[in-house]
Amino acid sequence: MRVPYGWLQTLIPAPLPALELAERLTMAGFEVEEVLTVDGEAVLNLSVTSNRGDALSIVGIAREVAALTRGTVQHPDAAVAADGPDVRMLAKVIVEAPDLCPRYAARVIQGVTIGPSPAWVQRRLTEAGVRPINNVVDATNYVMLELGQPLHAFDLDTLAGQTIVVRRARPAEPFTTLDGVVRTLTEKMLVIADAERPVALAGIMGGENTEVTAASTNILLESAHFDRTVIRRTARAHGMSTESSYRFERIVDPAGCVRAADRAARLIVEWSGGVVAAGVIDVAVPPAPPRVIALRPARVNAVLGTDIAPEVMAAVCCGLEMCVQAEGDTLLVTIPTFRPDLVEEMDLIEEVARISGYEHIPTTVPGHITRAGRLAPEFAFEARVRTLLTSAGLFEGLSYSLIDARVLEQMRLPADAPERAELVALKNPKSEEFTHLRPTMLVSLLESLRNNARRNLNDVQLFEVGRIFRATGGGLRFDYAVRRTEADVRVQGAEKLPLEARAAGIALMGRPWSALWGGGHAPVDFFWLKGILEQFLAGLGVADVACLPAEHPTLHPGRTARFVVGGVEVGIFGEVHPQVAKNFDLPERAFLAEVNIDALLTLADAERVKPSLSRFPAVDRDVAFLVPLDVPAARVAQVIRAAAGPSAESVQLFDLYQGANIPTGQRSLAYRLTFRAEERTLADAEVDAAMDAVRRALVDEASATLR
Amino acid sequence: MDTLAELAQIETTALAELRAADTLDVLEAWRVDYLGRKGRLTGVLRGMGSLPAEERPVVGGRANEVRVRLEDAFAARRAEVEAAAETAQLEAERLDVTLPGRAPRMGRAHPLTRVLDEVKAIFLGLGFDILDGPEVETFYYNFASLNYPEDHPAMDEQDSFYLTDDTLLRTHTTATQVRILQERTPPVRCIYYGRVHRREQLTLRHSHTFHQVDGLLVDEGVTFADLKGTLDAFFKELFGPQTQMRFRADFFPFTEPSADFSFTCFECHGAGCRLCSGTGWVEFGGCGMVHPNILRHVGLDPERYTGWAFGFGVDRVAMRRYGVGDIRLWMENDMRFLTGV
Repeated sequence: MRVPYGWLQTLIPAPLPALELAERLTMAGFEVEEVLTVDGEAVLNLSVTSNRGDALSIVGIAREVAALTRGTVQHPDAAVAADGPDVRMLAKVIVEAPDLCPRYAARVIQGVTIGPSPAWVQRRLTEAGVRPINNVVDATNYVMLELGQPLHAFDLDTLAGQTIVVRRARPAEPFTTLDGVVRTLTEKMLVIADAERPVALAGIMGGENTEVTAASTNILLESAHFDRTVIRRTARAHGMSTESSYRFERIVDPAGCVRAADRAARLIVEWSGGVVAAGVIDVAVPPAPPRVIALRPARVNAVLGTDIAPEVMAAVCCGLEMCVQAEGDTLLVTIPTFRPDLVEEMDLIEEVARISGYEHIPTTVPGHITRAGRLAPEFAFEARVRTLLTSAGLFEGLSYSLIDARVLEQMRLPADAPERAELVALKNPKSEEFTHLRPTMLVSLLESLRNNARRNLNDVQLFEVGRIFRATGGGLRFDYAVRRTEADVRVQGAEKLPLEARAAGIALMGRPWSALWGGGHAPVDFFWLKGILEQFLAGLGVADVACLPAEHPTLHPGRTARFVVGGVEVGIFGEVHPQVAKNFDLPERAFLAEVNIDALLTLADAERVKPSLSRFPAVDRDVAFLVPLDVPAARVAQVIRAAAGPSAESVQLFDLYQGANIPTGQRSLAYRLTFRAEERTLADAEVDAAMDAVRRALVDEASATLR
Repeated sequence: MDTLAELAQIETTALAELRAADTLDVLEAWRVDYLGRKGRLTGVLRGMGSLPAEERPVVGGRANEVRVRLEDAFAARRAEVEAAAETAQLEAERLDVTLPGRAPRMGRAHPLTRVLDEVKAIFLGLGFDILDGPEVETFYYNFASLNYPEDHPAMDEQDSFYLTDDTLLRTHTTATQVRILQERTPPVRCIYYGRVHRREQLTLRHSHTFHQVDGLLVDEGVTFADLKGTLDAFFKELFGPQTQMRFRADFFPFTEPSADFSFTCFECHGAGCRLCSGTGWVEFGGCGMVHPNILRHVGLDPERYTGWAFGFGVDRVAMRRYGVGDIRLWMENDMRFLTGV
């Protein structure tokens, strides 16, 4: 809201200099965004929070200034000489919807001469950001800016039957507002009508049909109070926001209607001539009695941590035009009708704090800490995941939870894939690129690869820890640890929420090296990723992990695997399918993994295996052999381990060969076994016997041919 | 030539040849030639049987002297040659140490994670628990339970991403507040953080996705002064002891009294710069005393318990700390950005 400093000065004499005043108002909750200069006059451009509609006026701001500076507001003069004929002979008001219009006041002014307003009026309106129109309309706007009560002037002679009917609009009723737009109304909207047709969209904008024109001589002045919800919904429905609707959507003092009508009638006569009809039409629902709040000074200081004197508290309330009456240790504060935001003691505590200044409240650190702070286990686990993955040379990325669902097709996911069938959609997306919640980390990873490839960044080592969403329901479970009794646990509505799961993803492409020369030209491959994942799972203390061939539409059919622990799939990884790589414009082979953090959280540190740290010497033995291609390496290693017995400390593949000099359908494998005993030096004969057993087992159980 | 003369001749020749030997191979051949089992000196000793008995001790003694001298000379020469060979090898192995280093790249956490880690460490130190909450929320937790008036504009579909009439992407981490208050008994002393969404277009300066930290303290005797003190302590720890705090009155449905809090700009320390638009202050977030209606709603007597809560966005803090101007860069995972910051 724009507050011309000169105008403010007429209501609160000798306030602080403009800049200092701006600072004080800002600290008190009315943020002055800038101090403008309009035609040499300072104008404060300030924002008023949505609970303080009463301050959307010069008087409202003057009241704040008075409280802050211990001054007194000189209220504008609303005394009006109403010596025309009885208003009830000239016009009639019928309120058919008192629920939406609790008060409707009207005055009639006869014999005005329409023309421009005095120059000083036009200047003030301009400073306040309102365009001058003519002396009658300007008077209504002037009073709205001054007192905060929106007003409307009708040309009385154009009102059919000189009657105002406040009613709900008829279904599909057409109406042309002052801006020339033809609007179609509904029964949920409130209109001001005459005997025949709508003449204003209540509280928002008047109509062309009854507009004050150069020819108008008799004026009906409306000063009413409307329900804020109906104003807001109607304005929204028509995409309108006017000075009037903005105020009605917030707070307008219902008790101020008549005073505003009087003030406006006075100004109209002053600026346009004419005579005010005797009496005022005032159709009103009886107002509620004023609210009285008990303010306990001891409570104020207990809540704020201050030592403010009760007299200061009383002065703050009086400064804001509240009535204060002491009763024992308590101050009984009568709340003015323009402050419906003040409902209970805490609201008054804010007024005391705000007006005396937040900067005067001391700064203390809360005591009575009974125990150290604890990190939620989920966060502690995610931190561990990050540490392991950064140790593996990966950089942490972040991606939006919102995705474009069309990307799922580029990932070759069929319509019945769970990622698509269980997709969670936004009801009201803002753009086509962000319409759904990501059902898998793979979407984000592929998008990140694409973003990098677009910039010719072909070496990517990324991971992300985040949430994925599925429409299977149930939300994410959180354990807030220190519970009340079970009966008191009232977490609501989990069944309404989609499944929200924790996941981590890895994307690799190109070279993982810091330099390209020497060995640095070697790109990552499937086994680089597998190696990272194996070490990652080992680092989390996840035991008994099986790696099995798997299938996923996004991944290469022959280069995809999953990790399974006790029947639970904890992750899937593989090379990006060539078609997907093409769809995402990936210049090189890329590799992806997704792991289920929720599952790993329950499986981590299942059992701590104590490593053997024998001090006796080790003996290395190698064995090389041919095996058919359909015998997996995992099976071969398993056969070797079982046959080698407990003294085999490690079994490691050190050579793999396939091609020239090897029969078709076979491959050559070479393993190094390291033997070591816990309590003694092994004899050669023992090791020889173990290797004999290994060779026999390879032939018998793995169809191997020894070389 | 008598045997003694022969020995003298051998010694002279051997020492001359030894001086000429400059590789370990030549040296070894020399050793075999003179000192080996079939070498020349051994040959002389072997021929001693044919000498008269009285000459044998003299020749034997002389032969041993020559052997010892040759062995000593050999050892000395070998040491010289080895030293020369080592020097030559080290010279040959000289590297251009200015070539680029070569290792797998070392990974790093995202700048946002790093700032959040700092935030968490400070609050753990102040005795706060750190809790989690869902990104998708019910209308109840995001708005209704937080004392929003029935028609508050923030609840509008204009401003929030809804999934159904009753579920939405949380618009603030304050959505977790009532979940915690429903499950914990005072003293409740915690922070909770994470991702929030607003219904915005993605532009240079605005995003639909950002990250917030919220804090909550509910107990007997909790004061507004404690709130000021806690935030002051936190930001001094995060930005340095010279950091100044400013509280201004504001309005939120879920706090009363409410404030917004600013701190002196960590770039110019309050002098005013481009970062803080010349004001010297950076506005961080909102805070206030937990509204009595919320305490009542979760079954706590507001006469007995008071509390405060605060919330602030972390993206802006982290982006400024790492010199990022374009909010879109923040979540695009450009490798130059991730490896560079």
